[in-house]
Amino acid sequence: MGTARSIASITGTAIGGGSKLLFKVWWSLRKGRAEVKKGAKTFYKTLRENGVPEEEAKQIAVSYAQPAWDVLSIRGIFRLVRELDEDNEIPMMPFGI
Amino acid sequence: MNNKLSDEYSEEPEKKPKSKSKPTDARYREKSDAEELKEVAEALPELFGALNDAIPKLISGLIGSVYSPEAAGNMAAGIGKFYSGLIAEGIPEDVALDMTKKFVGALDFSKLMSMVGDETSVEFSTKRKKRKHRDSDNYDEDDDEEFE
Repeated sequence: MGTARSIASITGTAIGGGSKLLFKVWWSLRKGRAEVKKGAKTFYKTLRENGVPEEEAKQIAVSYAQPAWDVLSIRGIFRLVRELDEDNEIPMMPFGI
Repeated sequence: MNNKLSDEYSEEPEKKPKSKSKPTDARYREKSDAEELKEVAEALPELFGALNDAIPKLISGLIGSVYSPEAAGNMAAGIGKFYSGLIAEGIPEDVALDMTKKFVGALDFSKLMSMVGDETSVEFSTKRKKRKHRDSDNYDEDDDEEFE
């Protein structure tokens, strides 16, 4: 009886906690993208204020924002986690990475 | 006859524990599995709680350090000053733009991101190593208790 209850508890926590985690990651990715957009706008404005031509300022601002834009996706986060996991303890096969 | 009886009586208590030993082992194993599952069930919410805290912090820290409006303004001001300085020194606009682009290319923002990522990974790995060390210490203590 105790075992069944424990298994049910583990399953429930995994489903509930996993959903919450996924939502939190998605929400922080959204916030991160907004932050990058704001940063890139400030970057562009400051370049323009210093006399850099419009087209070049745009190119530089895009090259500034691009790496963060690549990281701020679910795949990018998995890649980041894999890089953090030095000892290869987390199996990435289920995620197809 | 008495001797035989006494032998039989004396053997009985020795046999009983042998016959009882198997069920107690199975019961112990069952109990330990149940306890293990209970421990996992208790630890899982903590694990999810830690992940819920750690991942948003990692993302906001990674982005905030390079892409906050302040950091972006400072970086762009540096690039802009480089460009305006070149123009002020009398370098033609085309050449100054080319030099500024090369300067920005040398900055390499993706490298900057990976550097920040490495820093956070160092923080994470030291925390993990500390946790591992603590866990192994606890494990050793448990082992000692078992052997005692």
